[in-house]
Amino acid sequence: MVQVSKKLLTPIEITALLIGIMADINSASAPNSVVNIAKQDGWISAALGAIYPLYVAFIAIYIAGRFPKDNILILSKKYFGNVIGTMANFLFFLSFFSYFPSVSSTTLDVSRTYIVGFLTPLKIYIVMMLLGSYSAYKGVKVLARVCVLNIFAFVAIIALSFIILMYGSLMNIMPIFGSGFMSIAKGAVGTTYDYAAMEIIFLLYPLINDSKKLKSSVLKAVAFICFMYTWIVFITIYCLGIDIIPKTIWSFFSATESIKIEALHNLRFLYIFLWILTAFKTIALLYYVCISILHEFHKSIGNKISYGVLGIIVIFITMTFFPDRLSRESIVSVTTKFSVGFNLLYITVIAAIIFVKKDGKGAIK
Amino acid sequence: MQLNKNYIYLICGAALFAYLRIGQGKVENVEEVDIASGIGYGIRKEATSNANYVIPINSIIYSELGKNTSTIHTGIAITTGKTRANRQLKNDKEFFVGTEKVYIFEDSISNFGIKGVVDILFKNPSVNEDGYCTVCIGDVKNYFDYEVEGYDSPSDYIAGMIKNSSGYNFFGKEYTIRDVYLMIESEGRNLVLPYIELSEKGFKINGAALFKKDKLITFLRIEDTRVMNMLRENKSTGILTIQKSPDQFINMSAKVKRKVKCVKEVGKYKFEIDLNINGDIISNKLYKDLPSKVSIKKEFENDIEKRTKAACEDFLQKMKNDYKLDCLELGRVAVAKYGRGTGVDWNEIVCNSDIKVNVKVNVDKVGRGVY
Amino acid sequence: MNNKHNKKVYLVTIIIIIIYAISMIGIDVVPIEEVDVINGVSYDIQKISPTSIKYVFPFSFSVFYLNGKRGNRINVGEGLTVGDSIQNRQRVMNKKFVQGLEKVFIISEKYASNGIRNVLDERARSNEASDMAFGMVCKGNSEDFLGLKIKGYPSSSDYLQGLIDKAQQDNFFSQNYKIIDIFVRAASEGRNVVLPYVEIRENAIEITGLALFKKDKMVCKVDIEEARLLNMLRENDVVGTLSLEKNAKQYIDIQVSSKRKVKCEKKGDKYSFTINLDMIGDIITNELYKDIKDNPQEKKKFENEISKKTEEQCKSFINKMKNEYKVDSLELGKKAASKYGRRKGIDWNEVICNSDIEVKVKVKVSRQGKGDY
Repeated sequence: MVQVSKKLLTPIEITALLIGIMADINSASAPNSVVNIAKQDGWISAALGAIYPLYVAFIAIYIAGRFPKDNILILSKKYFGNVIGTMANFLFFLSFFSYFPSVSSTTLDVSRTYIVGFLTPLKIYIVMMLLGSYSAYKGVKVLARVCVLNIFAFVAIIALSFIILMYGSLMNIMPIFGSGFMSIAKGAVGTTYDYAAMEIIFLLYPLINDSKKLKSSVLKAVAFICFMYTWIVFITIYCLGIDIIPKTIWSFFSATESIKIEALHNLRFLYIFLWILTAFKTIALLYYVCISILHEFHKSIGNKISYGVLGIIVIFITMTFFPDRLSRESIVSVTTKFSVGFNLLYITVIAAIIFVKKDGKGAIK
Repeated sequence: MQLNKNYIYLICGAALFAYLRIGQGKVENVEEVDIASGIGYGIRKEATSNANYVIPINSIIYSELGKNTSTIHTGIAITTGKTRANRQLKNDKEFFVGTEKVYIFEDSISNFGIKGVVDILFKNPSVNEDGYCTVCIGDVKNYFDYEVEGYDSPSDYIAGMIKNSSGYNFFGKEYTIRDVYLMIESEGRNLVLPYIELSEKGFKINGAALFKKDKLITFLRIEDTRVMNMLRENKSTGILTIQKSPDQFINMSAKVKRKVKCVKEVGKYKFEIDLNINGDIISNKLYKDLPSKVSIKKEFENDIEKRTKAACEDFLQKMKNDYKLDCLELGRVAVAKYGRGTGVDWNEIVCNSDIKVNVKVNVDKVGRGVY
Repeated sequence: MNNKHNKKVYLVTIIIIIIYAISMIGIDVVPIEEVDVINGVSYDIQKISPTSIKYVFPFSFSVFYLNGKRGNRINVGEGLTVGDSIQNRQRVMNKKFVQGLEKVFIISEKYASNGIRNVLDERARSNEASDMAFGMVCKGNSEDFLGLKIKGYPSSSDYLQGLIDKAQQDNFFSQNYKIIDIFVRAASEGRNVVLPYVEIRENAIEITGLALFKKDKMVCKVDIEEARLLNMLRENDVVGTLSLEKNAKQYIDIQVSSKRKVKCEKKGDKYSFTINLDMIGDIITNELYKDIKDNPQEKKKFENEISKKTEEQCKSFINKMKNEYKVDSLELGKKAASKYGRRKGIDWNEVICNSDIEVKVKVKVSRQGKGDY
């Protein structure tokens, strides 16, 4: 990637980037996966699921406290040696790369169902990849600004969705805790995919301009995302009820259709527009992450051609293996387990080594 | 070098744009698209063959002279999806969804079950979910044929009827297709829609249609409908009357607030419905001195309370024993308190439970005086 | 410099005016109230005696009144030969009539069975006849069709134009029913004409099937169920609805767009064809498969079942076409001729009806709407 400048990221930008990678277009169908198991307490599961990014946050804060200028790729090479370190980094890359086709595929589905049903999938993918790669090419600072803008879009989405309170009933949420703790806990596991990819912080923390603020910015991101998901699931159950949610594919969209505002005749297009922005931003972020990890392997990766190549590979994989929602879900359920499992292991091991070796800044030998 | 780069970008951009536009499909002109204002659903079972879905669409013909009329295009087929193919053989315009204002279910298909129809609407993201639903008696084509002065199509008129039905007769506001989706399949809820009939004088809402899941159970006359609405809807409005003879009556405009409490004792459910009625006297030819004497006002309030409570209890008996249906959303309250997904039949439970009705009436304004 | 520039402007302006004036000489411009615009023509036959027939050509034209209103009338040109009838059109009119704006041309079944060569000649050769008019075959007298009053339309031709044009929205109809399409198919080797067949039902005009032609003579009519299959097998890139139905409560409908590829082989004297239909579409209703939204196996099961059913329906239609109708309406002869040689005097209809025709259908589900009730 073009080293735009030595400009560093402000804490707000770090928060925005983290929120950006976790909140993608799949949030609109977050209630579907959770309600299946936890029924009307799905929103509690969504809140509980935040434990996963919270854990990642704490590990990141710890490691960043010890090595504020070295990202995890450098650290893994340092502790595992060049060979194993590079392999571990490659697996780290794969864990992000596995999200790429599924996010693209979801975006495609929503676009074709709700807006541009007349475009062929290939055309939509090409536009997606062009937008994503261009934004990523411009550097992380630009991406961060895009994410900050996107936060405003989220705030708008959430603010508008408060209106749904007029159209549902609290009875749909009751009885609270009626599903039992086992179901709620199992439901929380189902939210893993929605909270995923926060591990990007391990690449970002060297870029912050004030390391003392890292802790607060990371925790703010987790808090925002947790609130957003909990609210989305809550308001969807409130509006539709758990009997109807399984019949929909993107239940949050169906819930927002109830909103009627005098001046705006059809709120749907505004909503879908905001969501599609979100989707494109996630794709740009994933692009950036993949390219920057690969950059570690080979310094030549990062020029324009590599962006194009990555885009073509992703389109190819998406169209072959993820042609529709059902195949996507079956592949994703497997790859997510791998990504999350490996990432947790990876960061925990490195943190443990640092702890044991008492390395880095501020360690008391 | 700089110039060349820009040209290359420009050409690539133009080529990409052209590629994206290829095969975009035939662009539709508005004149070539069927602007539907209402869709009717019916089913006919011929003796020898399978049942056929009959789905007429009432669409508007726009005229340059300003006076629009409407026409009907009907699709008949053995599945709801194939009716589109059949209708296209008789339609010179393209099928288009999104403009319809009302969905009318005939009694034929309500008896059969409206799930199939709801499914085809639910799947389509372009469907207008704010369209109103109603049940009609008889062939819906007759309804679409009946021209109403000042309206482009009879469907526009019927949609307005349903929309404005709340405000009187204690009707609620949840009669859109979106509400139909929610009520048919939600635990503890049952669908209720106003039903209309056509006479030489025009359209009229004559009561309510009660559904169990997606099948019609019975029609209620307007008198019973008013009572049911009071017990079912919250914040409903209508007029309460006591009439002793053609010359002696009193009318009160009423705003009803309803609260439901549910308790489960020893395996038996007990419901308590509190109706809090506030209103003004509109016309009074029965109680002399009502505006001036507080005691007379209290007497009237007691009378109305007793009558209303009696009417409610009458209705509850019918509901429990004749219709065997929970059309008052009581099951929903029980579900919220005692748990979901337990597989119980809430209609049965509610019909075997104790339901108590408490009515409280408070008169706000008594008008300007007695004539 | 300025002077010269001015002179140039004047010169060019004058030249333009002169050219315009010259080109306007000899052009008769007439107000529209003095002219009748034909909006629909038709071709019919009447039997005057057991041995002779009369050509009857009703046509429908718009009349424009001075107050801005528009009316519609029918008139008939009759004669014992085609040419007479065409001339006789003007004899019953009190105004000049303008051709070139007709929206439809209707051929009655009787006329079609006799042969439409003259129609094709008149319409294709005449430089006044409209290229954009849609053709169709009607049951009974074509005059009834032109004269039918349809609510909201100034003439039935307006309605019929939309009817045939929009037929391609469903039932796998194509848009190849204009005169040039018919002419090409009638004249080319290995090709045959098909036209939509319309009837008057309940005071409205409805497409009830297809008329199949052998060269320029109509041989039979197929009803709408078979017409769908024929369209599927004959046309490429068309849209229609497929369904599986068990009963009125259990069924599933899918709206597909179908692409067709034909392969042709020859072994000795016997030809064999394989028609591959690739269909991709959206499920519009589902009351049959419980879990098709979430379960990939259910989706595959549905795709297989609907592909098989469509294959079987196509196969039985092809048998009927070969044995009963005895005509190649699937454009297979065209494929064979392009591969194995033209102008050999082969009767492709006969060859196709004696050949092996195999059908392979593949249906794929693309979208399922926004949920499954």
